[in-house]
Amino acid sequence: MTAEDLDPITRLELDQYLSATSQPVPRAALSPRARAGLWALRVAAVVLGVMVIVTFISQLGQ
Amino acid sequence: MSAQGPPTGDGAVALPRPLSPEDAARSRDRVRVHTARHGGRRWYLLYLLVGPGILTMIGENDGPSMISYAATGATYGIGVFLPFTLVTFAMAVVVQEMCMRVGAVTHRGYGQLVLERFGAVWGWFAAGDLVLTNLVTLIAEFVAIRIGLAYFHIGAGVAALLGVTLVAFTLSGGRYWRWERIVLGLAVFNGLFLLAALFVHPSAGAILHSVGRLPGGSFNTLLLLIVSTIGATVTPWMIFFQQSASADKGMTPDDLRHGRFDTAFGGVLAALFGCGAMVAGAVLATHGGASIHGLAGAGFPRALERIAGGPVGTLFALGLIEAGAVAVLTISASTGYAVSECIGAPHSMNRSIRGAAVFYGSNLLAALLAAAIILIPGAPLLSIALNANVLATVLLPVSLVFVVMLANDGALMGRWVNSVSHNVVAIAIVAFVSICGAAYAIESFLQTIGVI
Repeated sequence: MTAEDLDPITRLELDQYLSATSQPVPRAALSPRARAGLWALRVAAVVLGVMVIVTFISQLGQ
Repeated sequence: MSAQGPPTGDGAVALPRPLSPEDAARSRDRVRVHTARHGGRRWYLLYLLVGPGILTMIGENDGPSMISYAATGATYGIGVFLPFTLVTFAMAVVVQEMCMRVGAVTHRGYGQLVLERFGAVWGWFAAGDLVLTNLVTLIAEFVAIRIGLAYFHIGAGVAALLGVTLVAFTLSGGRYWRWERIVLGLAVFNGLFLLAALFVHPSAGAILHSVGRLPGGSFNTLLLLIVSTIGATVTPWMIFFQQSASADKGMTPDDLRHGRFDTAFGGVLAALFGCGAMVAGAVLATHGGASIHGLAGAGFPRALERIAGGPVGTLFALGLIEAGAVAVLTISASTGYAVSECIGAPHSMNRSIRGAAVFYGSNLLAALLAAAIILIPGAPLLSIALNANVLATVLLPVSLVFVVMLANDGALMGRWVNSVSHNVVAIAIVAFVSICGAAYAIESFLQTIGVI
């Protein structure tokens, strides 16, 4: 039986209701390699972001 | 995520009662989709389901992007950048299709999924990254509106008021559908850039002749142009926005075909209009285009007016107002989705303002902050406008990696995970964007500190 059978004015999928989407999905099980890769990405993004901001600020002074 | 709910003892399915206002609003939209689909009304069904893709793509044809395209055309001609722009739009379509698919299958926004699936640190990192780039980009959008209005001798105060009023007005309805249709109506006027290009009477022969020629200048300049062009077509806010908007619209796996059309059609329109700005700008290339200044004034439209006539200048100025306005609406919306998803607050345009105060509040606050900055006398608006796309590109790989991971997450996506060929293309895009962004950041930094 689907939501439509129970309520003709409802055309939402059952996992589309607010009560369903409010439930958190389980945490992903990441391998050590994936975890290390994500950490490397995090460090790289911070370092590159700082480089761009420093360059931007130095351009302002010129 | 399958559509099966928890079964009750008699095999029926437990439904939430009564429906929340958000569910009721979304359900009304789905009834129309259902009726159109089962009534064989194909065009009406398409009309109902398009939106997030076109808005994302046209939204990224924003003020700084159109200025960047036109400046590239004015400084270097069309050369290698017209075909490169088409390639970057193809990249954007690949990325945005994944976002649409994840949103339609999981019914959750990007920020929410990253937070829940990969933990709070990554969720906040992604949201912080987005809020930073969005604020910088929003300032640039207000600058674009200001440039467009300055052509008509209207001041910065009106530009700030116009942008903030538009955000407040479009959010006031408490319905995603209403917001989407208003912004889609405004986005139509992105086509003014194409009209401007037609008015300069470009020679097809000259365009074809110049295609493929590399521009002169230093390696750093070439990198800046490449990174700016990528930043003008693929950005973190697009990822947050399209996934969240697809979920908020109520899209389901049944709608994936239409969602793909929406995304691809948006990409084609945006590429056409972006190339229009480049071709219009290219008319200045032989008239000292490289020396055009005055982004804080009405430099570009005025220069076009002098060389190509009043209608071209007017169309370009109106286009900049539209590009800035639509981007202010979509980018502030993506800020609202990101912030409220990451703190677990209600995040839907189908809710009342009181029911989703954080979502609406952060949406409006982002626009207000950016509007306030363009009113500061002597603020470095030119530098901000030019660096907005670069910063977005440098921080983009983080968002891209998570999109690819989510689109490959079998527990979430079931049979809608990426295919092998899709993954090959997606990983190539991530690698290309990462290398370009990193190369520019490192090269510029080393120049700044005097090492090279």
